[in-house]
Amino acid sequence: MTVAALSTKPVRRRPRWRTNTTLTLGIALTVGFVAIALVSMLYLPHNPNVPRIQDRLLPAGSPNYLLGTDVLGRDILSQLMVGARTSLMVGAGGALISLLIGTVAGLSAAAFGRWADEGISRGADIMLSIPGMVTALVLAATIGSGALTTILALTAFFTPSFTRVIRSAALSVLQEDFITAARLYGRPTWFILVRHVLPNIAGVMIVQFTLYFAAGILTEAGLSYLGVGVNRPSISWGMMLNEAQQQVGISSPLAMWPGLAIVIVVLGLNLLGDGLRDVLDPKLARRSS
Amino acid sequence: MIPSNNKSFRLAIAMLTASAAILAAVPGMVLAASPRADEDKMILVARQDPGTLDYTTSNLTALRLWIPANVVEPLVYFNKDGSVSPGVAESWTISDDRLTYVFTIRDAKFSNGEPLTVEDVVYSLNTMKESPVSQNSAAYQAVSSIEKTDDKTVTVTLSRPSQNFWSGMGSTAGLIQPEASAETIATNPIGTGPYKLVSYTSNSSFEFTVNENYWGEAPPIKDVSVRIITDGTAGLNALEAGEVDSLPVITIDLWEQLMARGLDKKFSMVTYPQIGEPTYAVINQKLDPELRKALAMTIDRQAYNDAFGASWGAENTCTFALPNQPWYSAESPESCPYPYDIEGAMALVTENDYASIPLEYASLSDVPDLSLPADIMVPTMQAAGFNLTRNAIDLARYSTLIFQGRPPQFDVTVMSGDADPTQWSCADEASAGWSTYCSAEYTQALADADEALTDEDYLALMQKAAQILRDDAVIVPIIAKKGVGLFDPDLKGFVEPRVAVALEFAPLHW
Amino acid sequence: MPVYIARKLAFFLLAVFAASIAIFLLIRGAGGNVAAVILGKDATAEAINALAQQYGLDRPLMVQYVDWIGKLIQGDLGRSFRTNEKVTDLVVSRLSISIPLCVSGLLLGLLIAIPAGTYSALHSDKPLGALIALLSQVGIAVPVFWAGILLSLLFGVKLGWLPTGGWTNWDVSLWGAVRSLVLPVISLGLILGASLTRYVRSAVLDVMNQDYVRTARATGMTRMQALLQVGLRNAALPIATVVGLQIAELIGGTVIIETVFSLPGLSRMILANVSAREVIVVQSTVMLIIIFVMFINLIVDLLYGVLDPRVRLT
Repeated sequence: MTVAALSTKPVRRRPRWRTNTTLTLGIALTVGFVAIALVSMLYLPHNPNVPRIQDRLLPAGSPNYLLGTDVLGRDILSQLMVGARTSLMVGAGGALISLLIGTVAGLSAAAFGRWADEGISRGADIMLSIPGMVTALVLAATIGSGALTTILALTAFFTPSFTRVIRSAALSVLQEDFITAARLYGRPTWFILVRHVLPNIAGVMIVQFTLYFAAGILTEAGLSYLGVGVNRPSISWGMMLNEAQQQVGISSPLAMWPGLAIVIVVLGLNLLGDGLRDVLDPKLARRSS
Repeated sequence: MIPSNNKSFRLAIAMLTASAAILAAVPGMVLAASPRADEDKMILVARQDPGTLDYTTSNLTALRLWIPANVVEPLVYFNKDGSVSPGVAESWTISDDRLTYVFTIRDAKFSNGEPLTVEDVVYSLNTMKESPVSQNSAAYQAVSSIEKTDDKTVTVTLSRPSQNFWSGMGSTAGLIQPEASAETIATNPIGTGPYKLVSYTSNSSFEFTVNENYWGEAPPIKDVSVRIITDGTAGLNALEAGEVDSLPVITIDLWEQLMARGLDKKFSMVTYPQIGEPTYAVINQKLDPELRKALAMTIDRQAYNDAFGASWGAENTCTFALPNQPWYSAESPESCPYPYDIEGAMALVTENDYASIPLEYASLSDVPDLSLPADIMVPTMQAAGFNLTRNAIDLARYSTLIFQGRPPQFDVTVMSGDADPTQWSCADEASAGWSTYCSAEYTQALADADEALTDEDYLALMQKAAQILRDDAVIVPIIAKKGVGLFDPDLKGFVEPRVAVALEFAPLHW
Repeated sequence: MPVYIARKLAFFLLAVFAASIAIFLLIRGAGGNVAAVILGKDATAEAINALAQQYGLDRPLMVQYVDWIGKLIQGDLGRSFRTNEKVTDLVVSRLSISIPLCVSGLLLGLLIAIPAGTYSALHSDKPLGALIALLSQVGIAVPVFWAGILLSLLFGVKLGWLPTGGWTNWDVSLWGAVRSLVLPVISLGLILGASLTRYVRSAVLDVMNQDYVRTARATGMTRMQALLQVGLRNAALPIATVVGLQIAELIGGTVIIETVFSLPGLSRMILANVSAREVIVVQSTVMLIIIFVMFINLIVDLLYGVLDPRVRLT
């Protein structure tokens, strides 16, 4: 599920029109998603947690409730909007923290000699061999489920993969002639990393961040579906699906909206990531051809 | 000509094969009667996996539904009409002062072929007396000795009369097991019942078959399979598709679906109170009584009932009991000391500045029956102005923080469970249970009732106890859910549970 | 070469050891107590302590760890506290569901991904190639549980062809067991297929740009011929690596699929035992999975060493 979003290999010979379409669509969907999440902080049609039993299970298109209501008469649209906020916070939070840790670890592995490399790379291997879902289950049991726990679990999943990607990107930059020049010039390693390597791998970092952001949303939805992700009063799309399945059955439209929301947002972010890679990451493309 | 014939022949074969495959894949659509009817079999569905079958140390409903009465029998059976039938005890005598009970043990064998002995009975009763499950041990509070009188009789002596003792002998507290098989009770409990357990696969199924050593008449259905399907919708689907013959216990979270799909018409539906459970709020006793009352006033019982879409299966009540218990009363101005009054609650919040008191609501996150009430209760209490925070935790943490926490870590929570009123009795403040409820007055009323010699006295004292519990606003009942079951229309003979919640297979027949 | 193998083996053992400590600490850190869960809400503290003592849960953590790992080394996975069943037996019975589920899901995924990925790599400019690329993009975005819900809605509820959930054991009915696995396998396979398609596609594109394929094509082979004759072997290695990496993910995906379809598989067993704090069951089962995944990685590493001598030097 997570690796899904991570094809690091570039797709070459992509016609320009397709890159443009991908990027445009990706940007449009992602901007829409972020906008809805932001709007949800300022305005919601209804309080998504307050029950209105007399309005329970109204169909989509009912007056006052654009997408209908659930078993307690809570507005579906408002819940979806708050769900977008949760996805944004947890997905982006998990991806960002992993990116930060992974960058530090990956750069260290690439630049500070064989032992650092062995230690960090093997550590990442060990972490990768523990199924992420198990880590998340145990973490939820240990510190209680919730948005922060979910972010922590995502960080545990993603950091080793980030570390690998950053390490290999950094290694290829470190082989370039201008780095050798800088070394001969007597620049300290940290300076070379910050000044020369980081700017050159920024493209990779942005692309990877986008793809992991998407993977984070999927994983969070999965955890919340299992009941070990976020809990009310927070709202997650995965949790809404779980509630719909448990309370009214899968044939209800209540089991459709959150699923659609996840697909659209994840698709948007993946398209954005692919589009960005074509634009930002020509180096990767060159290396593998 | 030949090739063309050959071709059409092949085509015909292909079509035949394809249609056979399609037909084979849709048995539920073509078959009206259950295919099990002719094989003397039935398949029932369980919603929960008990994990262990040791009924002496666990009181999980998931276990008590299937093992008692079918596999392991109590000394006696209490019938719905008030009569008492013999079980493991063939006969019994009760002294007039209700202090001495003499049970004559039946000449019978356990399902493993070993003879039932008086020693087994003494062992079983002593095990239950020491049981960590209070429902089991509570029956023995007045018991001073359990002794073998001769090879046929056991004498139990009480230090005071006890209604609980006698009712316990027809419930899980009175179940009789062979001492020699005590080691394997968790996976293979043995008894004298009409069925024996062939296998239990955790999270998958129980398989039962008739016990050829049973002392009574052999039951009509030979093999019974209880399939564990934790997903409620999947269970309903299996029934609708004809894969199973009955869902004898359908929890409240599925009632909405059940009606929406018209399953109550397609199948025969039974509702019975025994397996029902009260759903109740618990408000920590350490909170000010006035604050507790204000919190209780935010509970709109009809809203909880409507939320499950099942007013036919649950009654609104302020009394901690089920409709089959004589001291039960439905929601009414007389029986509800703190009826729903949100404006009144808001006024009290303002008046007493309750908004300044932070309250923690502990919510058990992995039980749908309890998260739905929590979804109503928390926002309503917040809307009334209480400063309430919801803390969602899983069962193991809930056990640690609340069931075992001393003091328990919550201000408000919601729970659903058996309707035994003695679970709230409490000798002194220090020994208060997880609910934090402790009332000397309530405990005394229950003790008096236990010692009652007549049914009238017993009822009056139980009603008095129920009134004390209501007034204290620590245990605040919301709804009493009934047991609901769906059976294949051809599967007849359902009898309401006699041994606690146990569903008896023996009366069922095609 | 022997040095290379020895180094890899040493790392394997070290990694297993490190993972065992991590798992032990994680689950013990969870707090809660199996004795309390077993005894339920009315149990006294004394009863719980007595039961915990009987299970040996009152001993110092270090002692418990050594006890557990010592037995594990001898092949004794321990027993469930509640049912006293051997963990080995539990795992074996669960694997009769999880292995068919995982393996068929993976096979279905590959069955979709290899032709689709190859086609879309060779014909990216044709409508069908573009359609495959689009479908795999969408497929990646679909959460596996929603795929499961949609499939059971269509084939279970609307058409009534297949059970929407639940499990019929192999020994009860072979046909029933297969039927219960069809929808879970399809859900898993479709989602896996969507993501694998992208890997296959980029692996094939890579290979097609290599000199040996160009040479082959210069001899007059079509693109397909060139790919089949010289390219496939080279594309297989990166694909195999990805599949190896997917195994840990696949196991995670089965937790969800087993939940959607109420299958009593290994992952569901872990889920239930975590919340019941059956620490020995969880530790031993998770360790088995980790050892399995690490073992696969070890084999892949060793294979690389055999196939590509350069790897041995690094």
